[in-house]
Amino acid sequence: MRIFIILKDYNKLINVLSGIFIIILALILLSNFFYLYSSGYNRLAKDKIPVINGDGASYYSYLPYYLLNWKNIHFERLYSPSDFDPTGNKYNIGEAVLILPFFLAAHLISIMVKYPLDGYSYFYQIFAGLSGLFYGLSGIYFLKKVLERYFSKSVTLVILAAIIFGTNLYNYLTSNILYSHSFSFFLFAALIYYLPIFYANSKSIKRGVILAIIFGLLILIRLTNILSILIIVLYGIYNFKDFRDRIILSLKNYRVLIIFIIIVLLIFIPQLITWKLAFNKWVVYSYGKEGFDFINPFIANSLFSLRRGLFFYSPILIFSILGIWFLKNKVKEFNIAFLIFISLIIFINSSWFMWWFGSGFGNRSYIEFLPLFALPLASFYSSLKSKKIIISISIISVVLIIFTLIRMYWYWKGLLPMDEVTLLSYRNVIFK
Amino acid sequence: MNLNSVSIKYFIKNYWKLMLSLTIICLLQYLLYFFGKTVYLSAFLLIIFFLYLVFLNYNKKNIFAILIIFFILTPIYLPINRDFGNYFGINIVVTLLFFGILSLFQKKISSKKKDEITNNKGKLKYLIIFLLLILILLTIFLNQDETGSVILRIKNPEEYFKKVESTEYNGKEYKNNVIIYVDYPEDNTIVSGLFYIEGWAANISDIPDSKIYDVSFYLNYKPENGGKFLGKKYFWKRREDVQKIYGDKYKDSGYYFEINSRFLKNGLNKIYIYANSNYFGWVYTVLNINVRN
Repeated sequence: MRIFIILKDYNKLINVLSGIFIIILALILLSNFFYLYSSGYNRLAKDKIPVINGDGASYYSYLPYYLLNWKNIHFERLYSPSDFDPTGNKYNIGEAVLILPFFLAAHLISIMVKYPLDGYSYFYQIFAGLSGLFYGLSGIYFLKKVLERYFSKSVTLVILAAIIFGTNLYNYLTSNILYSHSFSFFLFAALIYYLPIFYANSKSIKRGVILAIIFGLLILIRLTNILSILIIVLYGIYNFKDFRDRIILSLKNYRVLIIFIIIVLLIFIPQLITWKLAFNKWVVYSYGKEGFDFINPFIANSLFSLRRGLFFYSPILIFSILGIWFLKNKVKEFNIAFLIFISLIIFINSSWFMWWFGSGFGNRSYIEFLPLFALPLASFYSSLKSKKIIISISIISVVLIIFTLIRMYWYWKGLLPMDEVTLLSYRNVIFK
Repeated sequence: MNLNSVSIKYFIKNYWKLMLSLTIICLLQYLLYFFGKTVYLSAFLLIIFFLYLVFLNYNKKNIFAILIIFFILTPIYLPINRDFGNYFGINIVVTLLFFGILSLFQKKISSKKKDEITNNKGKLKYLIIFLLLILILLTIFLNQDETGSVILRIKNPEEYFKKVESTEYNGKEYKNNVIIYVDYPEDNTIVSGLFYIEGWAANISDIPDSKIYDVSFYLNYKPENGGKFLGKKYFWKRREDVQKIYGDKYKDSGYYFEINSRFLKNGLNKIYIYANSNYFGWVYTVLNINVRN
């Protein structure tokens, strides 16, 4: 009876939904994760694929390798691809650092129930997955907090639903949970959440330390995340004078600046040690022959292609491009930071020699930046005034979300290939 | 700009001049692409165009409209000509970046007094002319090899598409060892609708840096005889079988391409598959297919 009274009051309903959103989402993600991986292997996949797979396996491998002295890791991709140093793991150690508490919990339970202590048995698999889920969910929590600062609770809920279900993020919160993207997503969301707090009192050493920890962890996970410094520097900048003042103020607050640099360097030490152990050099470009081709960027492919296009697989983000116009009114602090950062990220992601970023669903190289895309997306939705347009955009949005989810399901079932998706792949799924 | 009041009539009335100049810029960009000029020249041209818009008092609204147009055009170009689609894609990055940078200076521009603006306009005019001159010079002198190669292709296609039988490298003679193999479809296969061509191509000569640049597909005739260009391979595929026989260098020598046979005539069609290699020029094989739609 009570629920009907609440339903009558729209605002109350939104408040209730907003309050329990993270709990509901956690339940959805957990049930989806356990539906897929309750046995430790992906239930839907044609091949036997464990939670710790693909790139995620390489990120994770530091834990069994260093903590369990597990030298015989059988994942062929970890060691000795012919192009690379035979002992080196090209991926950064950051994700392993974030997984560590979950790894220790899995180790403890494995001791208690007498499961193999090899870092890859059942509980290690499950807890590794749970770590990705935890950080992804935390990222959504921070994103919710950020959106609620600038937009109404109803717009916040719509945007969260659009970002989670209308983009390829959901795949990386469930099926490919251990890829680094949900971890970076968490840190980017934390960064844009914390920036206003830091700049409210940028003389505070404590706040400088927290900001340094977020930034340090970002580059500990992926080196290209170093570009997030642009968001830090350009946040709250409205014109060139502000930019000049920001530089002067940062130099005046030199103590915070020095501590920021020291903390970032301290956080990066595990990576330096890893490089020294793996490659016998303190600083190394671990990706070997892999690199950027800035002469021939595949921008159109990266954004629109059938194979991996960002807007093809996450079409709802088209509205975030339209929302750029409204950003300067709704979230003006991030206006210039977003434009400059996103343009550079598009250029860099498109210039990577493997612009499609290997196997996966959609263009995964943009997932960590979804908290940023959420801002113009929310600006767009909140700018809609006419009832007709609101209804049309809502219908289009729902269709786009369903379109994304259906293809994600095809990908999970192995109907869409892990890579090299073409028009023929789609024809084969639809007409066979 | 009120999103709810945008209409096509309003758009045409207010933007036709902008659209016309933008069309000219896109055509110039296509020319730069066609003559093998670097994508950065194309970006440079767009920046000059944006500065010109600022000079004409066009505001951020117009730059934003251009951004949306680029977002519409790029995915349209992609299936028509993938290479140009990617070349054109730089416009999205440049426009986003320019939009951000313009925001940085927007207040400064709008807070200036009228005399100061007129004065600055004079300076901006000279800057635009200066940049245009640099662009012209760079267009002439940059990527001369690529431009020369395009001119050769137009003037003397037989010479351009020729196969080199042997070459000299470090004082030793090497014979042409380019292999093009078609796995699917078999010769004279009946196809309908969308079909794919798959195989592998490798330059297996002992020259250390010998390689295949790309695999291209032409319809019914050799390109020098007017064969219609169908496209280039979609991607290189991993070929462990080729790697096993010829070595690690050839592990990604597989090619893959899709053709919609509805665009071909019914009956026998010849697909000329060309591998363009360094040292040995262009080598081809012919695949006969029977189209029945």
